[in-house]
Amino acid sequence: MIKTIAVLGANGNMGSKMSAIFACFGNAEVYMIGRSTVSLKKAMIDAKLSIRSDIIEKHLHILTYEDANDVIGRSDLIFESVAENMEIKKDIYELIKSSINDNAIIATGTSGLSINELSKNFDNEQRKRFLGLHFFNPPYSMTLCEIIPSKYTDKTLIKELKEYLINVLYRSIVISNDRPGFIANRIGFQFINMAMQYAERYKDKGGISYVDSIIGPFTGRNMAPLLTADFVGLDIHKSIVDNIYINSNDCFHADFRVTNYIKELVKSNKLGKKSGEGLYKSYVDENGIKHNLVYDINNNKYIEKTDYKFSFSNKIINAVKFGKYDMFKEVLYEDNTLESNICLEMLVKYIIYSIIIGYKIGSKVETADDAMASGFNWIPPMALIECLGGKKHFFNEVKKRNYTFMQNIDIDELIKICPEKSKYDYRKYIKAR
Amino acid sequence: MKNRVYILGGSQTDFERNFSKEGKNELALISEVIDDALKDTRLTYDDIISLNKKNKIACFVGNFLSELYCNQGHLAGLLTLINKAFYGVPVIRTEGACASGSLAIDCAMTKISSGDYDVAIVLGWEIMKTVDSKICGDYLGRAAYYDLEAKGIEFPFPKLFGKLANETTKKYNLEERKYLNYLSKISVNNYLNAKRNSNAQTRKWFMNYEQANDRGSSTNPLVGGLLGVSDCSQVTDGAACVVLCSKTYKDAKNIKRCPYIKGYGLRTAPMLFNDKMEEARNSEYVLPWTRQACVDAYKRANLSVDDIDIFETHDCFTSSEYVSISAFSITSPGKEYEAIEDERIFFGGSKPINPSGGLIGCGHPVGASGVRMFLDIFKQVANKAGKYQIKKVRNAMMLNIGGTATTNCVFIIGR
Repeated sequence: MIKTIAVLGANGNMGSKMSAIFACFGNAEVYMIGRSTVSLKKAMIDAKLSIRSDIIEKHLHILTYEDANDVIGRSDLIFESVAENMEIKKDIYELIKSSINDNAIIATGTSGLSINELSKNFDNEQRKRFLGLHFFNPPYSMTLCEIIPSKYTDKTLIKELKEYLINVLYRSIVISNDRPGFIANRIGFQFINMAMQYAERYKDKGGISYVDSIIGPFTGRNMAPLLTADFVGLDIHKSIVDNIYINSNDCFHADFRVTNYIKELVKSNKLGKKSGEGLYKSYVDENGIKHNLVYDINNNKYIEKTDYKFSFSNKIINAVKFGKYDMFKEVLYEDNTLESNICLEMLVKYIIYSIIIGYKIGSKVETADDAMASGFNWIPPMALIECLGGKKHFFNEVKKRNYTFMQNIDIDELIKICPEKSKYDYRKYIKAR
Repeated sequence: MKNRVYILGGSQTDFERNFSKEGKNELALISEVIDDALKDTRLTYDDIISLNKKNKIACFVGNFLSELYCNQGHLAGLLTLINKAFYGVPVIRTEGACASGSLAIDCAMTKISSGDYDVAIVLGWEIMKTVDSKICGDYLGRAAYYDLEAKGIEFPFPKLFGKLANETTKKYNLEERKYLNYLSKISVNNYLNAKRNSNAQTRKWFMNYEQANDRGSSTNPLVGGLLGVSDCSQVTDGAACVVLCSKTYKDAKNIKRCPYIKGYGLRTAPMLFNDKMEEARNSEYVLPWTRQACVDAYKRANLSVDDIDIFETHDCFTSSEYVSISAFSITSPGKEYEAIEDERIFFGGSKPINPSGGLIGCGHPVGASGVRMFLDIFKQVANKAGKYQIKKVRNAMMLNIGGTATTNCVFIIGR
């Protein structure tokens, strides 16, 4: 029974929101631990807002690291959510090691560091009770939790935690190998970074907003990928993608190369939403009129944003509005314009990479579906195959097109491991906008 | 009933969805739910064409306010835009506020029972998120007598069902604090049940007893008299569809163990809430016509409450679920709290109410709710309810009300 939880780094975004999830669904007493009471007080308000409940305040307690020993000692679960830095984490782990009881579970919320590496900070017994629990932002609506055991993690513990996460915290869980980006970020950030690369390649045609218009909500997401990157934060994007680029080497490796303009934007602190400008920017003029700007890669400045309308996307949107989803595949396979071809190519890459990652890093291909549905709220890749005419039809179309990125991929092997159907319904993901 | 009316199956949309945010209109909603219902019942558009050649198929559409929410009337004709198979098919649209869907089922049932048609496709739908919550509340005021009960009043319905709460405590001499605790438990039960239902609107939402009892706080503000937000069903976009058939059709398709309608009740109470209460003074029940509709259904089915294994009720507010407990005969009137105290009506109890999550948990697209409930009691009887299946269900019962329990519709399904 997990009744007492210590969240370390609770002043951070995920730390505060996860404190709320533990307190409400988990019905636990949650100790929010951080460096300063001022930031913790703010985090407590964020926590309450994130789950729309006042009553959980009674179950959230704030305290600083200096006073945390006793609480950590009493906790059934210690959730570490401090900055993604090995040295900082090491310091925190020293505190944990000296305070915890023998039955406590130690979990890290890291999205980038290796769980096996981190586990080296603990002695042999504590190591068995250490693992990664990677949640997604905001956890109230994104229910994914990736469970990442190290090679030392106790098997019974994994089983127990799985039940707790599913039945008590109402999470959708996938078990992931300890590989860079795990499952969801590996697939999701390949896609976003690929979109950044396309924007660079097609900078003369409109760059960022051009690509976002090609791969907009009608392709199975709430928000276009480059706009999403602004919400994620370009610095965070860069650090996640760099980490995967440095520590992995698969057939889509080049897609993780960070573009020069992203490096420039990060360097000049144009990080997206949180700094007021990133790939996009908006301002209200003296007449109260809102202006939407977009970053022009060619000239390194912001210009008025263009909403590109393409015949192919208009056809899809106008059909989907009335529930005619068949038009999606018909247009993408047959329109054969530059934009429709870019769109299809990106979607094909998304599917192919998901199959590979689901199979290699998840326990099976289907984990990619769970990861993308409940971690990103993007159309699950296998559901997208159905929307593109079903497995057989889809792979025939891929073969026909002789994509260069497929040269080193054994397509027949992919067909073999790809499930016939998805448990997800594609229709709600394909938006008419 | 002259001839038995069988239920082949059906479908509902995911009530979590917001069709306006998806950029889709009512045609997308309707075509999705019909496609799914046809798949579920193995009926094809070609079957519809051939049945229609013999004039043996009809459609029945329940909807409350598409004229306001979607600027669209003439909903019968709308089906022809979904598929040409509907050209020439008889279609009737029914309206009875939140009981619109049940009225469609009633019509369909009558026409199958009479032998006129062999197959009836019953559709209930509502798209509500096209307007903001204040306008939505005002629109819904048309389910009461607008001129006297809703015009110029912000959120008239929570206030009317808040009055129902007051009337209930007054009539049965209940201590207000205790009564509110019971309502909180009803709310929590519906939210918890919704967690097992993958089509429920609130399946990811947080609610517990403490939160439900925290009425008057910023996250559970009062909305009508004693009632807080946690006592209310939500604004929902959604549709449900069921397919009914005659014995002739069922036998021709060689379908075994097909659930059928065993009983129904349909009663109209006085339109004005005050008139209802005035009339109820002489009754043991707060809502005597709601009770009568249940009695009628039991009588027609020749069953009693002992024979019913699960219930779906109209918990547009917790106060309406509370009074339905005695209307179903689960307890005597005035003793509804007993069924909450001993947890009889919760999941795992002997008389579970709303294993689907009900209107509060699953969602309440008003015109769809009657059909959604009917589909859910069908699923329970057919053992197709998945994670929210109640064990060994022989008979199931539903109550769907329109307005302030003005239109009262009850069905019993069994096998």
